[in-house]
Order: sequence, then structure tokens, then C-alpha cells
Amino acid sequence: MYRNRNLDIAIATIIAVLGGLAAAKQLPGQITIPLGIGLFFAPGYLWSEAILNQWLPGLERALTSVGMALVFPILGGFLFFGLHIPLFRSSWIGLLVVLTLLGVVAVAVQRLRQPPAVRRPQRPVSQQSGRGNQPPRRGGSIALNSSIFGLAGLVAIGAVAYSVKSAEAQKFPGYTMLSMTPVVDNPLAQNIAALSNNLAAQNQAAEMQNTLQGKATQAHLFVADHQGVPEQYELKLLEKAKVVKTWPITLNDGQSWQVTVAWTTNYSMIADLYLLPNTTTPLHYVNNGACVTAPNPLPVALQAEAPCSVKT
Amino acid sequence: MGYAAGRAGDGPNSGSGILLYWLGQVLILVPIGGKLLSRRSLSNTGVITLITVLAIAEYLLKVNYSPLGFTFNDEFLHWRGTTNMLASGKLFELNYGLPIGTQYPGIEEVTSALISATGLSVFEAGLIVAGVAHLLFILFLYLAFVAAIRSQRIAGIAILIYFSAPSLTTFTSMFIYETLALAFLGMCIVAALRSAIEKSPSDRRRWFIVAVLTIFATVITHHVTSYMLTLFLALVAVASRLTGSRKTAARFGILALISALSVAGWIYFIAPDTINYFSPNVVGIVQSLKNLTNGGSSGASTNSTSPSLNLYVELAGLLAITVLIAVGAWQAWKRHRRHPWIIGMMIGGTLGWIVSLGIRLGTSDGQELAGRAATYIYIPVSVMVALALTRFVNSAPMRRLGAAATAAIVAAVVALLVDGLANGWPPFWERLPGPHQVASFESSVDPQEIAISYWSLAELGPGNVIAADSGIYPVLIGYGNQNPQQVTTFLYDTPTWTTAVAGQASGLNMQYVETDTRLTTSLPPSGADFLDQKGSTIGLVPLAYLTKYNHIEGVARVYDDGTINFYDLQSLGYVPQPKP
Repeated sequence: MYRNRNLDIAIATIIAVLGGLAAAKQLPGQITIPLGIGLFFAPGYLWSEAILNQWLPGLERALTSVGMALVFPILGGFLFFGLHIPLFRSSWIGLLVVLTLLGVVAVAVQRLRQPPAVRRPQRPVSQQSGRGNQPPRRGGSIALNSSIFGLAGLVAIGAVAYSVKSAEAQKFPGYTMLSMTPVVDNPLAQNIAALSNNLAAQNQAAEMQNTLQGKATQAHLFVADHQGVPEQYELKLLEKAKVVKTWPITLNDGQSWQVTVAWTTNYSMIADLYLLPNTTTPLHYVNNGACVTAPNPLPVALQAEAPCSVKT
Repeated sequence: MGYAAGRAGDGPNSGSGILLYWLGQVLILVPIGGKLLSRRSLSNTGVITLITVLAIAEYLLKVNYSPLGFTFNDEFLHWRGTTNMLASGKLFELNYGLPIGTQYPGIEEVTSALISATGLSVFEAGLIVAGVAHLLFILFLYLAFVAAIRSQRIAGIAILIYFSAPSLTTFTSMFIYETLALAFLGMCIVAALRSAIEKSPSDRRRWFIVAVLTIFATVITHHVTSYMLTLFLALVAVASRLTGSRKTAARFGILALISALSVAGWIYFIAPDTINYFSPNVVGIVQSLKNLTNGGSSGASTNSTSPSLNLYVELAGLLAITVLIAVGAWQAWKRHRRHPWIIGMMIGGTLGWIVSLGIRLGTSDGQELAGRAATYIYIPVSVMVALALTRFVNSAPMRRLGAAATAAIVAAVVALLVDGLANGWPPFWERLPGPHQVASFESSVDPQEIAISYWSLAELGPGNVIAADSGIYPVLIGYGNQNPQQVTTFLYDTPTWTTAVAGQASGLNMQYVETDTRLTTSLPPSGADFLDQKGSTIGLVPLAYLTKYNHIEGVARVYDDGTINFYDLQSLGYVPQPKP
């Protein structure tokens, strides 16, 4: 027992260093996830060892270790904020590794200061009651309990797996996405922090968006298939009510298609998406908001697509 | 299997699904309740195992509700907060859905650190953080109860009763800031207790350090939990003083002071918006209560949409808990009056319950507020109820009746737990996952809404001011990083685009309007299509009220998928307009 009393420190150090390396090198998940979880919880274990008595009973030791592991990123992140260190991946990994290594030193110093003979096992807080006497354990009941809880664990894992399967298999109505949006790079809208709950900033960003959108010269035409099956489409772009471009599109379920087209609001632009073999009635349409010059030269089936087709 | 039946069929209307769901709950609750409430001795490990199984089982039920991604609306807000933090490397990056949440970034920090170390997705890391925090909270609470009551059995029963708090199994299991803060609250209570009861001054100092660290973590993580922690520490300090435990009073007093100063400092320097965030709620509650005490109308909503059975079960539960609190308080006074924790819980539990009942019955948002407050109020309440139940189980008449009496008590407690689940979240109309329902929180989150939200971010850019129905609203905030608005009904309740509507939209800087034709065929089970309709739904939205945007010169129809459309109101500003 005494000979191995620093084994935990060694294991924590190795896990933290390997975890740090795996995360920094972005190794495959099978390696990074278990080591990363070890790295995440290592500071909590070590510092709970350093701050509290080494002989803290099992449940309290585990709970305080995990609790401390959750406390450190919060306080550490706030410290980094104060020091103007950006909290990117490398910073978090650095924070966890440094905390682990400092924890190793702290625990080592603690254990050197306090020889093992001085430390005494504590009664857990959960047993510090007059009525909390444990009944003697029987081998049979332990085996029975273990099998029951093992079975419960299997049921739990099975339930999650079954739920994932049923959620994946759930059927939703199919749909196809069509959009035509002017290409705008609005630096004010990118600054999300300045916009939230700030009406003046929102006004400014909206005005800028309005101006930039009015000056946009390109637009994205976007189609995505979510019908659950591969589909064939035909996309027609109409300018001043005349077809100027046609794209045949074949998409698998979940696949999308995009093209950049010239954009203006000085005259009407309409994009009609047809689901083949139907080439007479569009499945969906989008437009740029500009009216088709009267008299409306669109075919009757499409006349309603012009924004000014109905007097409101 | 209940959830799977819901997904495969009619959702919450699936009779077999509902039956399987409640059967599953009974299979979890009855054996655990039976073990804890029986008079047979139970080891500490046994009690811990039972409550761990209970906490994990209920957490997994929440996970299984939406195992592929977040659907609980509040989780989207923290998904966005974490994603923003990972992208920007900064704390306090504002979040349209929860501006106040950005000033309490604890859960985003923890999740970002875990993601950085493991490479997990925000969803996977969020599930781990929320699950670990939830279990920590329950187990720390158990340790605190044991230290306070000095009986593992009563502490175990108290934890069981605590699970009857409405929404415990969802709101404190979700990936939201409160879930993490509660773990710190539990840890701080245990550390504070240990800092007071340890014999060695060195051990007391060590636990004191842990208590202080967890106070700081709580303050950074969640506003209300930090206030409740301060209140709890102060309450125990006062109770200790009253019961003559001067040292304990001093220690808890110092911790309460540290907590109060931390809260005040955080609000002053970092989170000044907290005051504005809570002011309307506090003013509303005070006003409603004042109206009620003056004999006027509180404005409380009387048209509950819950099935009458739920309502009766809820009322019976409230009555039962009220009676048990009274018995428990009497037991506490009779047997433990020299014990500061128990007297503290007696005072806190009784007062908290009365205030909670007042809020529930007397204020317009009472049901929701009381449900949220229950997470804290039920802590002392469950101890009082457990004291009463234990006394009852051990009473001579009950002993004479034997197993039948125990079975009856187990059934009653399970009914109480079922009451908490039935009247918690998700509500009855989305008890099971299933087909899409309009404007209805979790059941409105389908792959379609998620795909549109990602589309909006990619094609429109972030932060657009969008009018949207309440179904897609949280998804647009989360995955879309958009700024959807709550005051939007005016855009959907007229058949024509009038100057007044245009002026109002312009005044609110509305950039896009989202329309969903399903609003024209289905009524929202939540009672409101849009977030600014509280108790005044406009019913089925006539199709013309949505399609009017097709015919406005200058309004571009930028998105169409057959059900949902997006219209660009900004184009009104630059598309050439006819001269008047």
C-alpha cells in the first residue's frame, strides 16, 4: 500500500501528458476521447487530493474530484479572460495540462510533508450517523446485487441504443430547399456581440445590410434534396419574365447544389424549381422582389410568382 | 420502447407508447421506492446505489427523448453560447436567445474545455457535462442530507421525494447553466457542512477552501442558484445562532458573506444586466401577490390546458406535501430542535413552500415560476416530507399493518413522483417524441427546422432580425445564430400589408419574415403560435395572412421549401418602388 501510494500521481501525470499530446495532435477519437476525458478530470483528482485529506472516503473522494474538475475550467477560463489570453483549443489544453502538473507538485509536497502514518482514514460523511451502522456483507448478496446492477446497466445501454435507432428511423415528410440570396458581406452583421440587445447597433447593421444588399451584384442559387430519395430537378432562372438559364440537377437525399449568378434588383428575377418529370408546374419558386413589368408576360401558371401580381 | 412507439406512430397520442412510458417509469420508481421505504435496514452503499440508479435512469430517459441532438429549447441557447466561445475564444460573447446567459459562462467554459481535450461535439460533450453535473448534484445533496439528518435512510427517502419536484428530471438534467450550478450548490453545502463539523482545524480549513471555490464557480455559472446558495448559507448561519452553535454560525456567516459579496461583485462588474433581467419578474410577482392580498384579481391564468386528471393529481400532490411538511416540521421541532441544519430546513422549507404556493396560485406565470423554483424549495421540503414519512412508516399502527401498509405508502410516494413527472416538462402534449407539431417547443424541432437554421447562417449570415413562429424560434437562435424576435404577431394577423404593419416592422428593424403553412392547418398544443401571444392565440392562421408576402412589391421571397418560406423585408429599401 505504502509502496504504491504515489502510483495515482504517476498515472494522472501520464494520462494528462498523453491526453494533452493526443488533443494537440488531433489524433483519432478512439485515442483522444478516453485520454481527453482523463486529462479533463486529472486536475480535479489531484487538487482534491492536495486540498483535502488523502484518505477521504471513496464516494466523497470521487465526488469532490469530479466537482473540482468542473470548477477549474470555470475559474481558469475567467483567469485567462483577465489575462487577455484567448480561450482557444490550445489554451484549454494548456490550462488542463498545467493544472495537472501543478497538482502533481502540490500533492507530492503534501505527501512529503505528511507521512502516511499520520493520516487516518475518515468516516465518510454518509456514515457519520448514529444509525448508520453497516450490516455485515454477505458474499451471495454481493454477487446477486452485482448481477442485478450489471443487468440494469445493460438495459440502460440497450435503451439508449434502441432510442438512437428509433430516432434515426423516424420518418419525416420529405422536402426540397430552394433559395436565392444576394451575396453580401456585411462586417457590421458579423459582429454579433455588438448587435445583441443593442438597438442602435442593430439599426446600423440593418442599414448597412440594406445598402450592401441593394448594391449586391451576385446571388447564390441553392437547392437541397431532403425527400428521402434521390430526385431529378430542373431549375430555371427567369429575368424580365424570360428564361435565361436552365440547370438540370440530380441530387441524392441530403445532397445540396449551389451556383452563383449575376444579381440585380433593377428588374424581375425569378427562379423556378421543377421536380421532374413535371416541367409545367414549379415545385418551388423564389424571387428578388422586383415586379414584372406590366403587362405580365409570364405564362399563366407562373403569373402568381410576380410580386405585383395581386393588388394589396 | 414508449418513445420508439411515439416516434413510429402518433407521438403523445400513441396509447401503447404512453402506456409503455408510464410502465417504464413505474418499473424504475417502485423497486427503488419500495427498497427505501421498507423498514428493512439498508446499508449506506445500498442507499447510494439506489439513488444513483434513479438519477441515471431518469437522466437517460431525458437523453433518449432526443438522442441525436438537442431539442429542449433552452439547450439550443447554450449550444450557441458554447459554439460562439469555441469560435471566438472569448468569454461573454453575446447570444441572441439568452443575452443574460452570456454573463454567466460557466457551463460554456466547462464544455469548451472538455471539447478541446476530447474532440467531442458540443452535443456529446454537453450530454456528459449535464449528466455528470446532475448526478453530482443528487449525490452531494444526499451527502448533505445525511450530514444534516444523520440517517442514511431518511436522507435516501428525502432524495426520492426530491424527485417529485416538477421538471427536476428535465430542467436540471438539460444542458443549461442551472444544471451545472446546482452541482456546485450541492458541493458547496457539503463542503460548508464539513468545514463546520470536522474535528481537526486543518480539515475544517481545507473544506472551507473547497466551499469558497465552489461559491465562486456557482456565481460565475448561474444567477438564481448563486442567490439560493447565499440564502441557504445565511439561513443555516441564523439557525445555528438560534440553536446555540456559535462556531457553525460564524463559519456559515463568513461563507454567506463571501457568497453575497461575490454575487454583488459579479453583478456590478460583469453582469449588470441581471437587474434588468429580473426586474419585470420580481415586479410582476409582487404586483400579483399584492392584488391577491387586496382581494383583487391576480391575473393568474385560469384556463389550464392540462388534462383534468393531471390537474387533480397535482392538487392532491400539493395537498399531500402541505400536510407532510406540517407533520415533518412538527417532528423537526420535537426531535431535532437543537440541530441547526434541520431547524434551518424547517424554516426554509415551510416559508419556501408557502411562497411557492402563493406564486403558483397567485401570479400570471405562477405555474412556470413555481415549477422552476421547486428545484430549490424542494430541497428543504423533501427533508421535512421524509421526516414525516419515516415517522409514519415507523408508527405503531403502521407496524401492525405490516407489508400492506408499506406497500400503500410506496404507492402514495410513487403517485407523488408520477405527479411531478406528469406536471413537469415535457408537457402531456409532447410526453413522447413523435410527428411535428406546430409552434410547440421540442415537438417542433425536426430535421427540416434544423436544416433551415443552418441554411440561414450560411446564406443570410448571422444575427439577422427575423420574425418567426415559436416552433422554429429557438432553432434559429441555436443552429442559425440568428436574432429572431418575440414581438411578431402583428406580421401574421392581417390579410394585407398595411402602412401601419410596414411601419411597425421597420421600427423593429425586422429583416426577414418566416412563414409556415402548417400554422394554417394545425392549432398549436402549446396554445400560442407566436411568443408574444400569452393566452390569446389567434387560432388557425388564415393562409392569406401568410401568403400576402408573395404580393408585396419589393419583398423578395428568398427561401421556399413548400412549407416554410422566408421573405426579405430589407429589399423594400432598395427594390425600385412605384411612385405614389
